[in-house]
Amino acid sequence: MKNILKIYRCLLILGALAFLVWLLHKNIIVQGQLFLTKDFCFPSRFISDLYPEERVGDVEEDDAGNCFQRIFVEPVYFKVKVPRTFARAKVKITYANPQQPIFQFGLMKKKEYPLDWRFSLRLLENKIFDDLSWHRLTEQDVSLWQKKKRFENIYEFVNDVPDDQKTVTFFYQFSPEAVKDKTKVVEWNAETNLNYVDYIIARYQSPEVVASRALTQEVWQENEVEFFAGDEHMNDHSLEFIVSAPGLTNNRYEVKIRKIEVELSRTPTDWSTFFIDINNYFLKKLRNVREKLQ
Amino acid sequence: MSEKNSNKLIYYLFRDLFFVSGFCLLLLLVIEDIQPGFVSFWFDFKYLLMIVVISGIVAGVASFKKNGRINN
Repeated sequence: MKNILKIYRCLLILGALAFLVWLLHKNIIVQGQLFLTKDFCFPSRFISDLYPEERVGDVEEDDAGNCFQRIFVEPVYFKVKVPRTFARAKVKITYANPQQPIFQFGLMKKKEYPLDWRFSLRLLENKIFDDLSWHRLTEQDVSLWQKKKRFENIYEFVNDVPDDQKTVTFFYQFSPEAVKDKTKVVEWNAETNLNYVDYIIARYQSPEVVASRALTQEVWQENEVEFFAGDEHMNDHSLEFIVSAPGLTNNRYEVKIRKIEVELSRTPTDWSTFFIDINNYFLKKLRNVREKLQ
Repeated sequence: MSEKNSNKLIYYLFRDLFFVSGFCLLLLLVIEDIQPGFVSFWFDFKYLLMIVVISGIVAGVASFKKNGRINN
């Protein structure tokens, strides 16, 4: 019996150690990628619901079995808890937005002081641009609208920004040397009169329709945006996102969010960098503990 | 194996399981406090807590039986 017990104790201790190693492996994200999904029908360990509560509705379920949260007052936020720092975050949002013209999405930068609200913003939807009947070019995540077709591709346009016609930019910045006449390039806002504009360039791709009104009661769309999500965006072991829809509150519109998918990526850890990575991981955690204690 | 020996074996098996899982639970709770999410992102504490409680109860009952027999 003594031998059996000895083997059993060894197995128990080995099992406990293996469990700790497994946890460490999960937290280090050796493969360099982490996929997280928030379906509002189920609680997520990583992705929070939308908040603050007074700006959003409770989680609801429609006849098709889709769970969602309504946004009445903007902006609203949600947090993505992450086990460690990543380099990039790709976020795909599935939403229904019947009326709101501009719908934006952003990642909060690291808070230096309590009222530090700085975000890296991206455009999720601009109905004003989408409804234009202008000639449109889309390459990667950049779109160019031309009132009269002159350029065959966006590369040609950005290397020869016309100084005889007016260009409007939105979430896009030209390199300084590309713009010959700065008075001909202005940033777009809701008051911009497009009658006097010839080109619009924006870092934007129109959302895709994933479910139409015929099947469900809503037109569910999805769009994907990408952020740099390094240390400069980490707030208390989390990435905090903002969902902004300027004018939503005054117009009494609402937006429904059905699904949030986050793909986090960093350099994968291989055997040559494994111990350096583990060392850095623990040094960082120790620094966090020290900061917490101070 | 006699009933006495089997009671003894059950007692030792569950006692050891209780100590190891209890120590693991304490260690993981400390780690979770230092680094929130280290454990709870991937594993539900309630399963480990269940192992600790059940193994503790079984070890307690087995110990009672074992000692009861010795006293008888």
